[in-house]
Amino acid sequence: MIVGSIARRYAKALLSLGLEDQSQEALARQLDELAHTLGQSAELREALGNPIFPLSERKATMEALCTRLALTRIVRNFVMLLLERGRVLALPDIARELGVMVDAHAGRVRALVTSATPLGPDLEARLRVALEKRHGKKVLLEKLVDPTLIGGLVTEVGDVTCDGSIRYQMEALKAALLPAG
Amino acid sequence: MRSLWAALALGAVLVLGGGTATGQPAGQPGAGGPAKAGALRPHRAGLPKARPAGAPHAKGALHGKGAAHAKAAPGGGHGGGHAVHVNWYRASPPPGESQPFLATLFNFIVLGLLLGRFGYPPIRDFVKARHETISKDLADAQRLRAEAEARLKEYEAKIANLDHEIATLLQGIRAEGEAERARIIAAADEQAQRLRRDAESTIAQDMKRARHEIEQEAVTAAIGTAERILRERITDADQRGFVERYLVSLATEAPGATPTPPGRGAA
Repeated sequence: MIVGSIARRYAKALLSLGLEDQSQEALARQLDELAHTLGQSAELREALGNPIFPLSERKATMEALCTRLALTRIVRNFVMLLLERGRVLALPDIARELGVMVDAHAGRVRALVTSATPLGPDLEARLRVALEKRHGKKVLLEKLVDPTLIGGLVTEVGDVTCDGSIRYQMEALKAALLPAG
Repeated sequence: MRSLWAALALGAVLVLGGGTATGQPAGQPGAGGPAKAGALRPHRAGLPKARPAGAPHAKGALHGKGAAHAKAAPGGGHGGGHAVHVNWYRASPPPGESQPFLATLFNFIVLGLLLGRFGYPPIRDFVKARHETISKDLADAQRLRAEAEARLKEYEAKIANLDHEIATLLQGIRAEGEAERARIIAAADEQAQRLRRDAESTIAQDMKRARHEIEQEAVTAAIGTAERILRERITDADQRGFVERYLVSLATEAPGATPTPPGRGAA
């Protein structure tokens, strides 16, 4: 919760910077790309987040990474600030919060859809329409396939999860059949 | 001290009396005190030659000078009425006369004074201490005897009541034994009932747990079998049908509510 609060404060500050020149979408995308890269490599996280390494070396490493990812100056300065304050490992949380804020600012909502089998284009379009109608916002679908669901699908929009999978029904049936205790 | 003086005076009277005895038969044995005292030596020369047969020889008997007159006395006895001559003070008595009586008395008094001065106190103390010791021993003996008698009476009383006490003790022991037996039986019964209740409770709990485990295993097995069958038999058309029903529930149910899972209602 403390990390989430900190992440929201940093994301809000970066969003305010992006709103000044309407570059919040690019900032969110670049920060998400950097967080994704950071999440891919444990060695990179160790090199950037461990205070045993000199700050100058960590800054040099981050600078090289930003150059390779072609990040803007605002994002570079932002991640350097995180390095100086020892908050660089909170970067994935900040990126997620920034994405939520940018989507909210743009009137969008992200929906994570997990299905037992891949959805066809028509079902995906119908699902997006149904979710937009239900939440009253534009929906960005993020799709996952999980065969353990057996059948059906699960949607997660913000904090709301709608589980329509066969696995959930079987678990509910099992809980209903088993006596309490 | 008084008794000593009295003894001395009595001795003196006896000596004087012995020395002035008159009319004493010559044949009386031992009359006048012991001859060894030396106060008056017997006048052997005056012993009667014709002593009657069987008469004791009065070797230590006092004889005055008149013993010489025994020669003329018939039957060997003294004649009555003759005074005995006592040598009171003559330092050199003639032969046949005793030593001066006053010197002898003086010696006797000196001896008595010396004995009274130096011999009496130790003897008195010794006699007194001895008297006290004996008195104390007697008192102790009486006390011990009284105690022994009291103890004897006590024991006799106890012995007299011994049978009754034994009977009372046996009765008490029997009563206590019966009470202890009843208590032990009651405790054993209570413990047995408690053990029985515990065992029944344990059996009931075990049965309940076993039933629950069996039901859980049965349900788990059934659900597992159902899932396996569903995995094997669900087709793409079924998957599409699940999504279709999910879309319908999304459209019909209120926002925030969990959509009706596929397979219910329309399925």
